Amino acid sequence: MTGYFLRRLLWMIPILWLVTVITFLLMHAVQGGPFEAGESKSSSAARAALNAKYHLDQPIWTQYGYYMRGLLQGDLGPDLVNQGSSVNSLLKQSWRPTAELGVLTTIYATVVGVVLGILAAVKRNSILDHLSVGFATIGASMPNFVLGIMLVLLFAVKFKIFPAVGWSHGITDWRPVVLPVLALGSLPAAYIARITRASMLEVMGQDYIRTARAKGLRERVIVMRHIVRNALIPVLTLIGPIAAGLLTGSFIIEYFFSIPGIGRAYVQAILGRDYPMIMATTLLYATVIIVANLVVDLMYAVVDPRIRYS
Amino acid sequence: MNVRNRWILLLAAPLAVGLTLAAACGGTSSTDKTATAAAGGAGTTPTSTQTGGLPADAAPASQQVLSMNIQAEPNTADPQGVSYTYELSVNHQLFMTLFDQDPKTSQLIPWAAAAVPTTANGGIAADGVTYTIKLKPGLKWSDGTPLTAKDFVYGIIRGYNLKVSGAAYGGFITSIKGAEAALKLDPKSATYLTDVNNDLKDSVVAVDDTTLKLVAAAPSAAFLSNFTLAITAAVQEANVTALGANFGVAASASQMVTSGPYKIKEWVPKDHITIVPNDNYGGGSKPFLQQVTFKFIADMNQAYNAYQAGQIDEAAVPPALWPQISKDTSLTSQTYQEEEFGTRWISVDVTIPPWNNKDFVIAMNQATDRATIAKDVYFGLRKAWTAPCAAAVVDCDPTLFSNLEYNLTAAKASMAKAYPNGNIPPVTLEVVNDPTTKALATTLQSQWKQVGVTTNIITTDQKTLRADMKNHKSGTQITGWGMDYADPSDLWAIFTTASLGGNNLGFYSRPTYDALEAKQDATLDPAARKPILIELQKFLAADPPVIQFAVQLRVDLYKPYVKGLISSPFDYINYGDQFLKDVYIAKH
Amino acid sequence: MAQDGLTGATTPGTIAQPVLQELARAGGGRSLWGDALHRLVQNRLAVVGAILITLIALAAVFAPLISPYPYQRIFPGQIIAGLSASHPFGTNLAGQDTLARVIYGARNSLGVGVFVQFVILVIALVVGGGAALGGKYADALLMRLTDVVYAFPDLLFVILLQQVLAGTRLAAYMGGLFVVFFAIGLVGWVNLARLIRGQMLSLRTTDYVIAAEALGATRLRIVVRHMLPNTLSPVIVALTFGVPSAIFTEAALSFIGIGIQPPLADWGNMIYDGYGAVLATPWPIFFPALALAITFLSFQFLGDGLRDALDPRTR
Repeated sequence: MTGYFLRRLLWMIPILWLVTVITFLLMHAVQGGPFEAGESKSSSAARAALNAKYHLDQPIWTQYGYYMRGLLQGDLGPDLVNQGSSVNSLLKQSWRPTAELGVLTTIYATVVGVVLGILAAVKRNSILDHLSVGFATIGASMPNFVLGIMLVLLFAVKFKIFPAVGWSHGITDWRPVVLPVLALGSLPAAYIARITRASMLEVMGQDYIRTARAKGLRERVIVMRHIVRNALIPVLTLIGPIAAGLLTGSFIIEYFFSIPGIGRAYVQAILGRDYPMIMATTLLYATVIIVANLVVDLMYAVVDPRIRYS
Repeated sequence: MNVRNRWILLLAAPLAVGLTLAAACGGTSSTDKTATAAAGGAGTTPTSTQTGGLPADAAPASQQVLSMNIQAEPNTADPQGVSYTYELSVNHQLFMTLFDQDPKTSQLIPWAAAAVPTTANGGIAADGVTYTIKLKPGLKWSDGTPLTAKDFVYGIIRGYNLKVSGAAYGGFITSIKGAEAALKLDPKSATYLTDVNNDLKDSVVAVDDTTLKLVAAAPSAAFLSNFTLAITAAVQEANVTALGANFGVAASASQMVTSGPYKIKEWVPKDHITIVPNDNYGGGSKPFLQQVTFKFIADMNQAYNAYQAGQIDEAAVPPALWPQISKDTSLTSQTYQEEEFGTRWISVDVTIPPWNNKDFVIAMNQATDRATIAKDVYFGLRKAWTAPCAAAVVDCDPTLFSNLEYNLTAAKASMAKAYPNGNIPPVTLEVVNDPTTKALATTLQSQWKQVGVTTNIITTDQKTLRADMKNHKSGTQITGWGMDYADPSDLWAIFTTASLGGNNLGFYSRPTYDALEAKQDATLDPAARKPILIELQKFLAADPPVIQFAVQLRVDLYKPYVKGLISSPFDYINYGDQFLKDVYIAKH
Repeated sequence: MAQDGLTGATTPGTIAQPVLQELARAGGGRSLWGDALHRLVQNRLAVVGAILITLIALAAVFAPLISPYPYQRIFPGQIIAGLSASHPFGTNLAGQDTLARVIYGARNSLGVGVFVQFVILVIALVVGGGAALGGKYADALLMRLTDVVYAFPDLLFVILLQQVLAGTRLAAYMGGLFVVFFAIGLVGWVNLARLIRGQMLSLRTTDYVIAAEALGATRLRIVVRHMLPNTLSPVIVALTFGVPSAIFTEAALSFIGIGIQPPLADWGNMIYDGYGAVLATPWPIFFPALALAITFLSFQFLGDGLRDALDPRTR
């Protein structure tokens, strides 16, 4: 199995390389360059100077060569929109909000989803069940930006409990975190709740649970030790892709809450034709997705002994 | 067991875990955590203002903290690199130029200079092109070293170095002798810097430490106004050399040596810039505010939400909310209203059909119901306006453009003249995706339909929009002009052949107009200049380069404790943003 | 294990994958479609979903007949007007009737759902089927291709693709929406391709395929007669669940202004435009959001019902 994962790890290299090639070709096919005339009062000579400085006047493969040479040395290139700064420094500044948002949202979605799912299954057809199924349904039917609008209007503008924009600056500054996490996490939470509930119900109908009951074990022990533990196996394997999706798919929430994260920078980079930034973000996200995928496969093998990789 | 109680506990758990984690993440961060916690200005020394004398109703120095929204992140803090209004707002606090504009009267006033040179005070020589400027005595940089005329020579010439500055405004200061030659040099040449210096060394001269000599290429009424532009600010050569390519960049912004009332404390990319007083400022009285934070919130609604949530002290009013806010007595006391010193128009590409047909452009002007746009699209936050010049521009006469006012009968007549057979080609309106701009586009679409014109609306981003206009693909761009200074040359130069590829977005090129514009700029006597300016406006009314539609009425909200704001037409981004020196926080 | 929920909505592709793999394993020899239909009709929520989808589809098709006004018509002076008899859903920032725009917006939302699934199906059939049936090398090559596409961050890649296609002739179709539909389809096929491949590979070792081979059936006949029909049911379920996910993706892109061109109406974009006035009036956001939620849930319920009906194990 170690061999299998080593091969998978090695396989990441050609995949990521292909990602660079495809992204490079695509972004150069986008109309317009990073330095265009517009409301800025810069002259055409200045634009020509900038294009020359960043090799943008060279053929695309030469540009790709320059890029890959830098990349292999760990240099992700200059940040064309914020001149003078580099993509490395930009990513260094913006990865934290995105990572924090992704991790916190994953935790929120998992905990809420699992808890609601378990409660709904244990107390099947009770008010609790209906409530959590209702939450799961409503939560799943609202795009996160609609939820974001509602949360901001209610908790920031009306009750002034949480800030409307921005992100945490440190330990004590937890308030800006709450609304984005709720907006981003409720849909996956609803999803996890549904899966958990279904999985619980399935396990509860298994023979070995009946056996456990027949043995006279306490209900609490049965639920916690036998049902929950087995029912969470499929849920566990879902967390990888959900985390990857939340880490790489948070840009609308970042955009809406003005969170200085990578997602927002990526959209701005595409609109600003900031080539090195587009490349770097795509590569970073691709790596996150591949690793998450690998972790899922690993988890399958760990939690389900029937699966063997070779 | 009580399930209900446990359920509530379980619901609370994720929140608690999340918060603990947020705390843990924050704890490992290396970035400055004082941003919000120490918003009381812990890093500054309050002594200077206590002796400087705060107004009687002012809060203690530690509370002299203002947070405002400049809507976009500056690309740089390098004065030779800035050109957007949101950059200028910050830069004006950091770097002194020779002159400034009086926020109330728009008159040229001295800043680093001791006085505005005139023929009477001997500052302008008899030849009309040689200017002698004395600096205020004892000027210092924020690091305490003396600021001399040499620093201004360095800064002004640096503005022509395309490799460093991108020469924002480069085309504007061709009025210096040798500038035109310097701008034509090839930045890739090995001797580029020496060549730039050689072209300008006789026209930008430090006579002694406090005396500067400037030589104009030709007599020009707008010459001195150019030295209010950020690109002509002094920068410290030692500092520029030390920081190299990082001069003006966020990461090393706090190391920039400044000359203005403030210096940068921190610049957190994508979030905010914080400035604190420069204790060595010698260009005027020291500011009251001990800390000013400029946030970069692009969306007006988000900014308004942040204002309501108490995150910022200033925000613009989103147009759709204006009817509501203007009726809400608790909010009207927080609003500041002013007319922007600039105009909003639709640039039309007069080189491609149907815009190359003069009568068509006139017809479209006459078909544009500006009053409805001002009322329906902008909720009264814009004023219908037909002349391309704002009322405050010297010798602007709006009545000269009355032929272009909304008049369907006239519009149909002009259209019949333009296209007698009725085969009117469709036009394209490319706009950015913004609720208000799209409402404007759809309104124009339905108005132009009345004269038989089909309008295709395309929403896109700024970059594509500019590129398409430049490549003659779209034919229109909703834009306008915010005045840099009161002199009319700043506006009328836009429509000259010389501005093609720059601000002349519609490729308007008329030799007669070029001659008129050059003549007015070279005429120093206001009385002699006026008839030329009138003639110039008549020319534009008969052959319009744009569809002018509004002047903006800017309404900003300020928290009630923000006092000392100055109304100025120049600060077209925020009310008072360029003139913070009298602003203070009242006790609250 | 049985799956009770499968939205795939947060991120099209990534989340649904293990579930889809599960579905792939769930395939089996079923030919009694009538049986499945009967089970579907028994599921009340699925029936409600199907009826609502039909109604929305009818509204989309007959929009010009049932809409009170043309969607682009402007009512001067009636900007963000409240609910009234003449404008039951109010008007938007440009003074256009919200009811008319919600009705016409159904065209885009359903259009994106259906068109994207079509693109996905075509690519997934070619890639997944090709990998399963094309031999060892084709399998390796095509599966590595899916690995690469899988690695791209979906939503962000759609934006990049859309920007690339925006410069081409395609941008003119359907008011700019065509390129968005196409881009969403182009990145969304990976999981379905894997599902089809897995399904077909497992079918190849089933008794009846082996029996058909033994009886001398041609390869084409085996694929068309036995393998495709038996791959169909998990594919139908996956496609049904894919519809709301595609609708959300399009709405999200439209929300940040990518794709749709005014004066065309689109729910996601209506929500964005409504946000410009949300503090003045909630209605311009409320109705398109409600329409989006109803459509989403309808497909969800139908998908649940279809899965239960087509998968005999969940009976």
